[in-house]
Amino acid sequence: MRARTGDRATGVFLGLTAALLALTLITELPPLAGPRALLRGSVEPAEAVMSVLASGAGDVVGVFGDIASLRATDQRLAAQNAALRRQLAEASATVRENDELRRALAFEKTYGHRVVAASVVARGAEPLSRSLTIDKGSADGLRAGMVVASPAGLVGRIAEVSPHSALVQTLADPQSRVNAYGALSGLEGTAMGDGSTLSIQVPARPDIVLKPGEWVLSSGVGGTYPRGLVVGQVVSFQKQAAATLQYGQLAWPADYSSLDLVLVITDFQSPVAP
Amino acid sequence: MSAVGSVGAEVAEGRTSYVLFAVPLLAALAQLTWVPRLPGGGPLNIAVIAVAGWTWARGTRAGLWWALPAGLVLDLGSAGALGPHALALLAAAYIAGLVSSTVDGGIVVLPLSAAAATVAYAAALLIVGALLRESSLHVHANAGWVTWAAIWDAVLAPVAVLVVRRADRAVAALRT
Repeated sequence: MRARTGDRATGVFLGLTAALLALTLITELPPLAGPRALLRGSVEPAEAVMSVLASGAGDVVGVFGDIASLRATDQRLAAQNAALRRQLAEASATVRENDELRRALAFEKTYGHRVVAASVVARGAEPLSRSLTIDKGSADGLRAGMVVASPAGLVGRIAEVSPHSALVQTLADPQSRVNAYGALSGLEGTAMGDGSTLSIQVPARPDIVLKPGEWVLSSGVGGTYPRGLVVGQVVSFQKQAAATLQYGQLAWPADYSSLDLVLVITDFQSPVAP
Repeated sequence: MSAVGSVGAEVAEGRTSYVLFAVPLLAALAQLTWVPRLPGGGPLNIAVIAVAGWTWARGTRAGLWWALPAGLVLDLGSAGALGPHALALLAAAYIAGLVSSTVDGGIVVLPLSAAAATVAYAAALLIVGALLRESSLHVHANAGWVTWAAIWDAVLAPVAVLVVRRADRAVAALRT
């Protein structure tokens, strides 16, 4: 009986696997990028609600903590205290948002690009897909291929766009490639992601190396990204004798886990399809 | 129970069973929105924990049917084709079922099956990704987070089972 149940489970597993393999191969086709983006847009409202709940979770925990500590005192005072704390948390959040928007304005002035600020509502499920879902889409003038940055530096590019949301392929994505150069050494190479970290590949030069702490900026070569945006900071660089290419590890200045607001550069359209 | 009453109970059971599908869907949404905010980028995978826990409690087939919607939600929140995450969660459910049915030991098996499910999930995702991109597997580059995810998922799986059982009881109470 148990073996029969196991056989049935294996049958369901194989059947579903075959169906999902077919779905994967079909939806991978470039002509289906539009419908795929539309489907993705359909879960954006749920993601936005969950994101708001995630932001509020910290405040809720704090409020419960306050109530526990003030239980001995008057209930009315405890309620007032909790209300004041909630207001303070909201005010802090507003100040932080204002600060982020002010920095967005500074970014616009510094780099001379027009930007649209967007909130991050979801992130990739695991370190293999460091993607972001933002709450702005084609209805806000966004298109696939547009460059996404944060006040700290380059974040990635829009891979797919639906009317009210967009999927951003970040620099840490294994398929991401950015032509970049060292700000001090001038060494040019390619920065690439491997899911969780960034690395840079440069041609071997006997006299020049990338030094730890050196900033790496986008070079603009290839036209995929504008020149001069911060890609990362060199953490380590290993010089290997007799190798034609040298590799370095980069620290990504945009903290993936706390990235709440990003800036989409709308007046730089990449000529290269994402 | 009369024949009509029996049919009515079956219909009610069918309806309330669908209510439980909210659990894997919510787990997948939480994985996309909450977990990445955790310190260290969140190495755990709530969707894998939920599927492994349900498989341990209800069997492989039930786990597979939870894996499908949760995986599709993960696919909708991630870059690329639709299907790889659902495939990976199916593999996780199947392996969790295999471990649960072959290893005796009651609830002690649960962390083991959750850890095995996490490794199966990551392996399936890496293989599908490598096939689609025609690239190498990058096993060394991903071994670190997979190990941490397996440990976290193993630790949290018993908690998830408690939550799922509570939800199951609540649904059962609705039936009566």
